[in-house]
Amino acid sequence: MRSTSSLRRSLLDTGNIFLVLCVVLFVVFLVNTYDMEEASSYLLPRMVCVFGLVVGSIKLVASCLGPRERDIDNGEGESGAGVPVAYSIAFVAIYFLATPWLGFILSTATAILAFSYLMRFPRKGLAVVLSIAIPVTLHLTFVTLLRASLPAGIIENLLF
Amino acid sequence: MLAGGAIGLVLGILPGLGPVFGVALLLPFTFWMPPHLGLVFLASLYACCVYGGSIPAVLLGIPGTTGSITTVFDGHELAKQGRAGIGLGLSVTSSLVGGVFGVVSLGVLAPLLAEFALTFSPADFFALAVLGLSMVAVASKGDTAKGIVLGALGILLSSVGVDPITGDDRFTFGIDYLSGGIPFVPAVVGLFALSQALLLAEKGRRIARPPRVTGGVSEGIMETLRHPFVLLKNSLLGVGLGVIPGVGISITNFIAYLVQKRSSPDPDSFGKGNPLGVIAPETANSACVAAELVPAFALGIPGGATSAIFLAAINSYGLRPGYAFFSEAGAVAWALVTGLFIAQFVFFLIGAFGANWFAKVTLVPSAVLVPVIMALSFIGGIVDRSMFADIIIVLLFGILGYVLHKGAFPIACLILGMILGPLVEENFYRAMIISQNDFRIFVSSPISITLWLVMAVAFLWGFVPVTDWFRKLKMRS
Repeated sequence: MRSTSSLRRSLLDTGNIFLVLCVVLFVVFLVNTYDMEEASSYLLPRMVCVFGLVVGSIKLVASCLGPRERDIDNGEGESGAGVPVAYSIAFVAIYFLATPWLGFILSTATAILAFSYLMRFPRKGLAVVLSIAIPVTLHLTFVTLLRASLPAGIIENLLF
Repeated sequence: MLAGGAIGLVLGILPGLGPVFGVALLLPFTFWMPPHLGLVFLASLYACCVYGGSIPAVLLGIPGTTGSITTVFDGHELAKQGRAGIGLGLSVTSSLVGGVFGVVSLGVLAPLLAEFALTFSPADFFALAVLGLSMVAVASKGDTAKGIVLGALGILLSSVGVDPITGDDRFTFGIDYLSGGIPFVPAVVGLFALSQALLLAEKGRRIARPPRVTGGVSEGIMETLRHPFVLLKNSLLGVGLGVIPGVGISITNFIAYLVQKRSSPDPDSFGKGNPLGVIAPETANSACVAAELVPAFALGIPGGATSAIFLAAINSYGLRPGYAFFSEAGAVAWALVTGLFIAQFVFFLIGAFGANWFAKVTLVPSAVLVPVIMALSFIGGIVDRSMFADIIIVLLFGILGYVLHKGAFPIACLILGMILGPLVEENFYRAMIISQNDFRIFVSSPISITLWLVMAVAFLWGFVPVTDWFRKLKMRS
């Protein structure tokens, strides 16, 4: 029988946390099927929920009681060059939210510069050149060549 | 085709990215192209990406894709012996032969299978869709139970939005945006592209410095052509494994390598630079690439994540897989087959003459690669419908993809559940209406019974340690 602390550690595995979330989601969806009146709307989703709930719960219990599964290691990086994932997620969220207002070129240029700083890219001059060249190239490719619409933001609104 | 091929080659060479990432990231950009060009672009990208994985496998000992893992064993050994050119020649020629064989099989098998599928009832299609999903769960690298949970979650996510039967909103939780369902393209971009950016940022390193190519590529080409039987055997093996849902290039290249080693009169020479150790897996995985598309185009049942994205592309172009794809949209289908055929020669030329130059892309540091992937993910999320909420879907699915990768979940199952969900539901209700709610219809035809039996055997294989039992029995005897 496993000790309480090792059981707690198992529950904190990325895979097990996700399994708990899945079980909760299955329950939420299952509860929602009881609001539906037509059998054609709820029958299959309800079956899928129950099936997922059963398999997910068994897997969760088995993972907690069995030997601890390790998270997948991404390999060794150059020391200090990696960015913690929480920072990366926050960074991507800010980039995605800011792009419609700042415009694609400005926000992407800032993102490249910021990431070169965060990841300790040694060639600062090259980083500046790339931060201009990459967004302009992407913008020209998608807007001029493929006629896609990308957020113009304040820069283009000021220029045109 | 050239653009798709070149991009595919670069993505294949960069370890950690790969065909699913490439096809997912560039899918939204094909919406401006006519359907046949869009499919040819994606197919060239896919084929060249799988081949591209063999270049760092030979030069650096790092497989660019999961389909090139066994190529490292003998290909990199050749490079260490100063014969990297021969290794590249072997891989490019065997990929060409396997690829051509695979494309011919796609052209021959897919229409035949599609015609046979005309005899399928809704209950058969339901069983087939569930089988496709189960096979991917069983064959995936992770855990079968995890695959099943993800598949179920994928089906549930696909049921968000308007109920196809009643027209009422379902599982929208009062959010208007969800009435249209969870958009597939931003979800795919997040799961496969943005999640890779997060992983690369965490890893934070330059990938590797490629050595100079030494030894003649032409020597490798001639050496490959001296083994016609090995090429034919592994092409057949690749096609056979490719049409089975869930198998894919990663399993195919291992099986081809092991079969070749077992059947060799000198198995000890494998892992020490034996040319057959490169020829066998490279031929098989290239044949598998086109064969994997057979069930997707003929039946609408994708065999893995990449073919699921191809299926999404077909749906986005307003086409339907199955018999109609080869009869009504015949021009598109044959353009795809022809394009894929020519793409094999394109990557052969690029690989034979430019592998050394292309290998330099491994020098691109993550500090540059990560923001570029982020920017492309943003564009991929917004270009289809120009809706800001789609960007949030990219972000959420990006985080989800990262978590799934860390927890060793088979991500392909989620995407397969999402794409097969509508097919499962539609055929489930059609079968129920035909049978007047009698569940016995699902085991009433020989096709359904066979499919359920195959599924039962697959689950037995996935859940019960059958191979361990056999090994123990063998050891005892």
